[in-house]
Amino acid sequence: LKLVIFLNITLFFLISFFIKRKQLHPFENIFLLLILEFIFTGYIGVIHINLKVWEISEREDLYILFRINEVILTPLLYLWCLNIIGSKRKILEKVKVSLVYISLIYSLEFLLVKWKVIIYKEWSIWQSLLVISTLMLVSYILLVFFRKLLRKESLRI
Amino acid sequence: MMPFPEVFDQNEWFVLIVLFLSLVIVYLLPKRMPLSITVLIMIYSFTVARLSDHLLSSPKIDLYNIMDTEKYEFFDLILYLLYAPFGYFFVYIYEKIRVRGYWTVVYILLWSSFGSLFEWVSVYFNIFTYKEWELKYSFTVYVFTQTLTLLLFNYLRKQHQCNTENADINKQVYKK
Repeated sequence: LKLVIFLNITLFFLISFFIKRKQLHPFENIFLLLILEFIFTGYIGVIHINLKVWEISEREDLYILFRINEVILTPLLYLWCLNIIGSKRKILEKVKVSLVYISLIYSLEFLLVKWKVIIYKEWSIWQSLLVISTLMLVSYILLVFFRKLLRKESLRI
Repeated sequence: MMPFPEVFDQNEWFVLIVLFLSLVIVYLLPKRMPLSITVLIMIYSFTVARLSDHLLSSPKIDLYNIMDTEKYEFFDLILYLLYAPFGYFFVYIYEKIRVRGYWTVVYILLWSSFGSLFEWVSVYFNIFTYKEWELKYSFTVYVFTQTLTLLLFNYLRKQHQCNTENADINKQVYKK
């Protein structure tokens, strides 16, 4: 049942994401999605395989659920957030949006912890919050550099 | 966090030498496409490699190992960088020889065969250690990912041409 619920959430999210008008240029969206996938799977690889501070459920359905979250849902949530941040002019507004999305992304992780998809071992909430914030910041900085390149090529962004 | 190799042997040397040579070729080749597209194709190439390795070689599925251990090593990261120039060569030649129509199928098949051959050499140098995996499966993965690469490239090229404020820039960057 958990997998079905999660699949439905992912599908509804995917539909909303694709029908929503994006604030960023398609090049920026592709760039961010690829960067997020690369960094996020690397992060999971380090904490789950190398450091073993996260244990992933052995149950097949929960394992699939974890992978869907890792490869589709979470990176798209970051991307959604960065789209909104990219459209805001004031720094305070950017910070507000970031805080909302950091709590949203963490809530999703918390749900997986509650469902025993992820089992924390020597890991705590603040570390997750720190990683989410850092990943958001790093992606945003990379976006700024990429945007400069697009402007140089006279792309309408 | 990301272990360094305990013994710096043939697989590490292989990765470093091929990476160096391929980056030199990328640098020396005359530019045929905008830098933004080059950057995106390169990032796409190593991200797809990372994603497929992460999903297929992580503990529960564990079809093969990359480099020396099952862990996500520092040299795994260097290995992913190797996919970037190869992705670039793939679209560069596609653009240079103007592959169109059914020749695209032939082009993808040729590159998938080259990819499989290169992987076979990589297995020889212990870059990959197969468990349940076989080289013939890789061929199918290459056909799939290379088709996606060309779709992405054509999409990016169209978007770039439509969104550029100054049409002259396109004439300069897409050298005919």
